[in-house]
Amino acid sequence: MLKLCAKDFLAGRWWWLLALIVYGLNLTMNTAHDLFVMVATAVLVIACLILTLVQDYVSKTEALYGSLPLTRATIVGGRYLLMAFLSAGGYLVALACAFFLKSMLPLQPMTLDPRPWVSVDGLTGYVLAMAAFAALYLPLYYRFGLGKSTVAFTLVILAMVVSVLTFKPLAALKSMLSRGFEPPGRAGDAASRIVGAIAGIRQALGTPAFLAAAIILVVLILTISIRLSVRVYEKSEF
Amino acid sequence: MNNAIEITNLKKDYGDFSLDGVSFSMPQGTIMGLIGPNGAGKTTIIKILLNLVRRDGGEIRVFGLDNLKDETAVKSRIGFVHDTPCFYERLALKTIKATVAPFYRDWDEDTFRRLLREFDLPPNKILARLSRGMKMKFSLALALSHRADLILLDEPTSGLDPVFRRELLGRLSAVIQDEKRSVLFSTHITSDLERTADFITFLHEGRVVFSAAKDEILERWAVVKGGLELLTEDNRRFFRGVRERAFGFEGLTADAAEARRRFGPAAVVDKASLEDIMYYITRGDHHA
Repeated sequence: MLKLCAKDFLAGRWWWLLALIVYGLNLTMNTAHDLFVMVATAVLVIACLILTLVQDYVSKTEALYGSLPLTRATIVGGRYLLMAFLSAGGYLVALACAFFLKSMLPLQPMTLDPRPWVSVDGLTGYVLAMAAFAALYLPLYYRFGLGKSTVAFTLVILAMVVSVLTFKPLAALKSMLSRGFEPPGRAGDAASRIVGAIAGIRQALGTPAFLAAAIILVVLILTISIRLSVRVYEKSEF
Repeated sequence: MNNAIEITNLKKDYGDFSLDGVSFSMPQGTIMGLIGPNGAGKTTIIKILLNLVRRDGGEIRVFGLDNLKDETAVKSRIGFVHDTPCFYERLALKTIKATVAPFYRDWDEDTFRRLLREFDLPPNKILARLSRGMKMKFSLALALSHRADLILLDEPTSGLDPVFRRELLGRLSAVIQDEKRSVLFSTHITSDLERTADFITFLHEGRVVFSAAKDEILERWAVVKGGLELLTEDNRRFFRGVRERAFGFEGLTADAAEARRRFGPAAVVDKASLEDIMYYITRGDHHA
């Protein structure tokens, strides 16, 4: 599966670089909102994944790599591993950019504070979010193809955001997130609040139980997702 | 002799087209031409063999191994050239190679470099800037660089101009004869196989019309040319396909010796080419 990731790197590296440049430019213009950085990082990771899949789609390479000594399950596994690598890379890039901007632009009124992201709670939240994205997107991709799956994924994410903002039982989350969009200097530290909320759960459960629960959750959703993707992909014909 | 490929009762139903109980075998170390008109099922068989398409029934064994149960072992022994090159278009040839080579334990870098030189393919050239013929050559170089025991070629000469086609075939034939590999070569251009193939399997509308040694086929099959008075109902049934003209007829038979006995000097009995066989069976008035 590492070879498949290396293959994807060779196919997508210049597009990833382009995405990284766009991400960096956006960050320099939006340093006041750490929530923006979180969202931009998630978008960067998903964009890099989709850009890789676009290369396969444009060049119709599935027949080629399907003819190599690989099983469909291995090919699918390679995609999930790629998402893991991209997520790890995105996390490091976000931290590097945030610390860099904070040190280079000290006079700008900014609330960007990457320190909570480095905590166990921040990292756990990030891993859970990325696992959820992969678990949702990749089965859609294998079932419906690139175009439809990307539209469907975007709609699902939008629906989730709308439900958070409109559904009453989620009012606490809504108020926490909405504060993140307030003008700089007032309450633009939504990322810290999200991390704080995760920290609250960790304190309630105790760190070992919290970590165990997080690992079980990640393993569970990814296992279900991978099985679903493999089942669908094994039926695909090229 | 052990078989490189054994296909038994292979079935695949697409609704408007189906493979209907396809069975044939290909001995190791031989070149088999898989011929038939467009849409006969040649590409489908090759894709099922590589598990790119799911089969509805039947069995495929490659070097005695089941192509599904032993998928990776089977595929590691196969070099393939698809009818449409499906590489990353924006990558250089050496980069494409780097995305393929690691999957083969027996990848031979020296062979790959030698083939690129022989085929006049610059390793730093972007694939999108190559002609179709050059892409086919590159595909062939990849297929031949991991010491594959079986080479699957799906219409490799289709869409190439005659000069390029002849050059590609020459290269292919030289490489294959050097290495003693088994080759399954699908094509609707039968002249590509006249010199190179040992065995021919002819597919039509998803069924095997025949699968036999090429020499035996060319010995047995004949085109009979004669006057219309010879075309009695009994004689008509004798032919696998007939074309009637204003002053005579041409008929294809699978029994040249019987044709000579039956018609004697009243008709001309010529050896049938593969193209004749394909033409009469797919387009002629059918019998038998």
